[in-house]
Amino acid sequence: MRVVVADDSMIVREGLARLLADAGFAVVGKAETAQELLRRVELTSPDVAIVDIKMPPTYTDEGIAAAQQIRRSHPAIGVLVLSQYLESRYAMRLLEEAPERVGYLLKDRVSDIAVLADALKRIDEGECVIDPTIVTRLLKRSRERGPLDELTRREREVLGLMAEGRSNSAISQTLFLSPKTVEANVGQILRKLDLPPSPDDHRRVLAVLEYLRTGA
Amino acid sequence: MLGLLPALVYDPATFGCSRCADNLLLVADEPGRFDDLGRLGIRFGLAWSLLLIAVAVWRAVRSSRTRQRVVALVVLAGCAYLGLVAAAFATSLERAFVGSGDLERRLWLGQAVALTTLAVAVGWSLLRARRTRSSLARLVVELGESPPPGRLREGIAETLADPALEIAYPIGEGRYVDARGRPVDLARGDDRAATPLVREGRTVALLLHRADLLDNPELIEEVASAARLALENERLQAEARARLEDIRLSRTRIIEAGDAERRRLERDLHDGAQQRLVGLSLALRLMRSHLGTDDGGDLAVRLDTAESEIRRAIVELRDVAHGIHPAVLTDEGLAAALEAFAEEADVRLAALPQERLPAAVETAAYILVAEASKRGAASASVERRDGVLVVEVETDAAPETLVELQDRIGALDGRLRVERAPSGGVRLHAEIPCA
Repeated sequence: MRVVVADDSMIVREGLARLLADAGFAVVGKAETAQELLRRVELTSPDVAIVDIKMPPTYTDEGIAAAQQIRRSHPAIGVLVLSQYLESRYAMRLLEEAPERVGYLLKDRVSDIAVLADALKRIDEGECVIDPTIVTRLLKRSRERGPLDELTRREREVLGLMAEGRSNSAISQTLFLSPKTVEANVGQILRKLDLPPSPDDHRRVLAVLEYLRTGA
Repeated sequence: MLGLLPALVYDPATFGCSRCADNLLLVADEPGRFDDLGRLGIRFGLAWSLLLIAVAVWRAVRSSRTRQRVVALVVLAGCAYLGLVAAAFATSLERAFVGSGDLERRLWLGQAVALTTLAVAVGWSLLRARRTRSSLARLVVELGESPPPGRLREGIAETLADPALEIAYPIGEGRYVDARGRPVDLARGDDRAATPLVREGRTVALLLHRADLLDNPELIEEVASAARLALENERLQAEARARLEDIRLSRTRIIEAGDAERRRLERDLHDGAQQRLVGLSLALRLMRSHLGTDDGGDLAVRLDTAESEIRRAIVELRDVAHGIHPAVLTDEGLAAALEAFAEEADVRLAALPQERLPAAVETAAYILVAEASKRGAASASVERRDGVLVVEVETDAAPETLVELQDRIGALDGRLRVERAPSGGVRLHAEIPCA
């Protein structure tokens, strides 16, 4: 898989590039700024671009803006945003426009090459990827008694994986369940939470995350 | 003098009046000289009348519009009278003495009418001045009752018939403020003028008024001396208000500087320390993978331990940075920050403003909700109503940092009240101007 790495910190950029190269990825471009990233993407047409959320000049959310721009102009190129922010708001901004081929991972995960490689693979396959820490945080948030309390333990597990952006088949592999069981669980969850019955996998992430964020 | 001189050379007997008494002043009986002196007197009178007309017209033309309106009738009547007098002199020049023929009678009649008009005009202008003075007197009486800020300006504006009049008080360092202590811009157009009201060599106030009021400096002087005590008093109050405003602004600046410093720290932690730790964890992972699986089992375990320690450090650093200043507040605004806060804290959010507000206002509202929800389950609503951000939080007890919160909100000219809630807990009610 061909990837481009954009991070303003040299040590992170180079380290990430070497780690990815060692794991069999082809790093076809490296960028220090958002503009450079867009140029590299234009030139090399990678499968996935890995983007730090904070980049010059304002060091706020240039990464998300760049990711959205790439998704708009190159729908076939996936984007993985690396972030230090736990707040789901940033992830939602990334998903809002087109909830596919995008990912939002916390930065402390990047050294775990297995997680990184899995995320890149899923993004390349068209899924979206949300960091499990963010999903766990949303699931744990205290709220008044509501439909979430009616879910069984298994259903909550499935809901968490749905929120991470996993497809039914991925969920069945992770939880060692048959695809039929997962399908039944998903149907049950959507019914209990009163979410639209069979949205496609990508829209489903958006609906589930929005539900977890606002409780509605 | 010119009227008396002919008497010295006039003998009534020469003019055929045998029954007249002798002229005791008679120096020499010279009828020719008598006529000459009579003509000289008439010429002088004629020149004098014309000169007076010229001076009156000249002064009227040179004065301002307003003054022209006021004196127009006086000048017109005066000029008419002087014109008629001049005409009478002109017709008498031939005869060398002022006669009493038909033409003269008509001229006299005209002069009488002109004089009456002049009297009325002068009377009217006196009446006007009296009216001004009585409104001034009213003002003085009113000022005795310590008027509210701004009333003094209204009173003087009324008296001087200049609704746009402003009073600027000097408070040192070349600064001027109005009665409420707000800065006054002294730069004006051509039609405005500034008159300093000086007392004991010190400027008490600056009147910013219509330029044409300068034609009547006595009026300004009169107003100034009548209102002197009140002006002095109001200057002191204005200065006190301006100083208070200075203090409020400096309080705001201190809090804003603190906030900016926290934002900078948060950024430095993310962009500096955290990036380095991430880089370090990547380096360790690379070393670990180059080690291979068979050799250095112990070393591999130690590298793994080091790496997971670094990962933990990154997570802790993230929490610390977030505690110092939540970046989402700056990036995405109050609503997003509170929603994110509610992801991990026990707080229910009823209403949130969707638009962005000034950074200091957003920070104050955020900290209020965050601090309040430390004391137990909270429910909060944040709404913008007519340029004021109203924050209401119900929780179990008042936050420990209540004084700091009150300081912060006070610095923004807002108020924070703590009330007992029907539920038995407390309700914090804050109003922060955010126009």
